[in-house]
Amino acid sequence: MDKPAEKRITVFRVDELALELAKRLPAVMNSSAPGALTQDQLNALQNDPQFMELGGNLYFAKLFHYIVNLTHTGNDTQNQSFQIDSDADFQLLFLLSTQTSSSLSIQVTEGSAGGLAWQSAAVNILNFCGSAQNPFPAGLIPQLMPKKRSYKVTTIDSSGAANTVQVDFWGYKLYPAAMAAQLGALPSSS
Amino acid sequence: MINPWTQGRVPGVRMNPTLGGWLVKRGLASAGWTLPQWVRLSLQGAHLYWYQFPELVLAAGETQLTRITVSEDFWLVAIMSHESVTIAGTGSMRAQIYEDQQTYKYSKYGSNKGNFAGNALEPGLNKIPHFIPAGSPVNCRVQNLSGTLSNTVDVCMFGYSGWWRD
Repeated sequence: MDKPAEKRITVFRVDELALELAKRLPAVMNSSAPGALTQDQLNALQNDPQFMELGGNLYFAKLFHYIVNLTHTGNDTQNQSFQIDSDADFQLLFLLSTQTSSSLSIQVTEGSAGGLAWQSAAVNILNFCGSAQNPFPAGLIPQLMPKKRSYKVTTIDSSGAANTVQVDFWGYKLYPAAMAAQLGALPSSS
Repeated sequence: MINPWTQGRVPGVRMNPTLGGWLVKRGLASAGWTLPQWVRLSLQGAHLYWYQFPELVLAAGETQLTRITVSEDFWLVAIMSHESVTIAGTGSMRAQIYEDQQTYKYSKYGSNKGNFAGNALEPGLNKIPHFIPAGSPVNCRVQNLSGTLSNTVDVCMFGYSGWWRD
């Protein structure tokens, strides 16, 4: 399960890798093509708070919410799948939810039936999701949800009454830094 | 003083709060009450995971044991719980967690809910995650502090599993 030592990014190597990639900006990642930005634009880009480094790669992070809605009639189980958009990987930052009743448990699995689960058993919704005011920081260690991967959210109601649930995966779409212009994030040259 | 948001970073590349535990209510955007950056970097690639202890339905004043086995190396970041009964002050249950393999107890005696577990809204994070090796059974002994009501108690451990991503 462990990565080989030479592949693992440690605190000792992350600077070295990030700096190496930073030098190639704004060329397409891992490309030898020359950059299209002036030095001023490059400086502005590096001051943009949406510009971030993660695991030695450079990205534009754009705020995004993946939303799942489920409606219970009472004492029932519902599930809903969602898929990460194909335009960007998603970095999960917070888990949020609203529900009529907290007599509700939740589980998240990856892919289709039998996919890897995020938990050993269904977890009470209040131990899984926070709110916008008090969000649950699931992404303390950055959690990448790869583009095109699907996830299944299952909720189990035990309140016995109608329960309307919304689960919110709040985070950032990570676009390669070289896509800044397409995202409208290219700094002005004037 | 080391600034955990800039120490170890690449000059000119801004550190982004997306790596942090940004607890809005406490107004924190940095490491005061969250995992320091060196911890987050060391665990990079580990996958979020919840170990959910089997739910307990406790009669008034009753104590029961519940247990899970950690299947992968696990770094415990927060213990959270939910009870069907609310008691102001102490909370409606008291619990103690201990590991078989190391006979390691998380507290000297049973700890009241209010001192023992948060929830996803206010999780109370371990700044230095507690490591539990793969294969360890973890026990949780829970006492219902209500003398009159049955109490349904869910306890879970949130953290990061050695389920590494490539």
